[in-house]
Amino acid sequence: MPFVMFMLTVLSFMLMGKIYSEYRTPVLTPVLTTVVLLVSVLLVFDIPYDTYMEGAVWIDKMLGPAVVALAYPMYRQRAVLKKHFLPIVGSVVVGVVVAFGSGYAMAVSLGLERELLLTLLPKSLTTPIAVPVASEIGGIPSMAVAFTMIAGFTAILTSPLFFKYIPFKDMGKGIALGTAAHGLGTSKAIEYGEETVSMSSVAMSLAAIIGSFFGPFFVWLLSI
Amino acid sequence: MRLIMKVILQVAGLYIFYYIGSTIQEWLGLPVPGSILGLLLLLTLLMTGALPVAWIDHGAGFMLAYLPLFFVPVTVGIIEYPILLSGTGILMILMTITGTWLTMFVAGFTSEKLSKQKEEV
Repeated sequence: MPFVMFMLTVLSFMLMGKIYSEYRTPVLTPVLTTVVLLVSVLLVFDIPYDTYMEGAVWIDKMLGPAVVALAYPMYRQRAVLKKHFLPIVGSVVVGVVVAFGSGYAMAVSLGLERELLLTLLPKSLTTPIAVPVASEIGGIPSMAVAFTMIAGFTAILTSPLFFKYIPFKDMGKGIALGTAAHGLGTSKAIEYGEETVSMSSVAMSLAAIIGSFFGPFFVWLLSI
Repeated sequence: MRLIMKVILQVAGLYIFYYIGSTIQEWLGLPVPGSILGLLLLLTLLMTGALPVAWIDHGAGFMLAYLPLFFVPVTVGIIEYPILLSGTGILMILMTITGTWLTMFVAGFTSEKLSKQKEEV
């Protein structure tokens, strides 16, 4: 059974990757479609999550080293970061603070329970970083992924209208997308040009690093 | 064949960084995830030139190509939280959308102010 679950995950992902490369629309993002497929299979065949994880845990174990691998693209972005150091660092820091702060303020004012509040906080970070940050601060990692995706899709679907009324320049668009909506936002940045893409990628990386330190600090500071 | 060996060895290398990061986290009792500490350690070594980028580029490229697959298992765990489909879940979705717009606005706005300042100087 564990091996079946392992293979089911890998093969579903490969199939969904193929479908995505055929149509290239964000709704068919492989993670999203793979998770929907797997959840449906587990529900239909009444397989508990723990049973699923006995096999899938071997895939899950790769997430840690894969996060380390993010150092490689960050290293390659160093020239862009150096060139626009102050505007990038300054705006990403402010952006991360606002992302966590606004999530906290809304959650508290609407009376969300603690565990759900903590789940909501890392939504602006790139998914592989949002997962360990959520579990570190006491949120629910699986749900955190869902909100991370919703943040990304918000940027994908609404940024054309958003930038129509708030006409940022190429750099501002990129920083807005990368800081608030990580990789999905960066995929949308392609439509706004090369400068926007590189700014979005750098902002996403920097937000991931800053967020993984600021998140736990924020939770400690406000003793949430 | 040589390329496959290279990828395997480099992935093992990334795993060592992850292991070091996790160990540091445990020792110092830091609230920051061990994987992030491993990332920062590797990034520092690359930036200072202490570790040639050719030692990890193939392994990192491989891991990043499959990155989305690696967080599928944890995400499937959502099956245990049907709350996402309740009123509370919808409320949280609305908060996420609002928070994303707010963050986009503030981050973009700040970058425009800061880059303008630079031009004037």
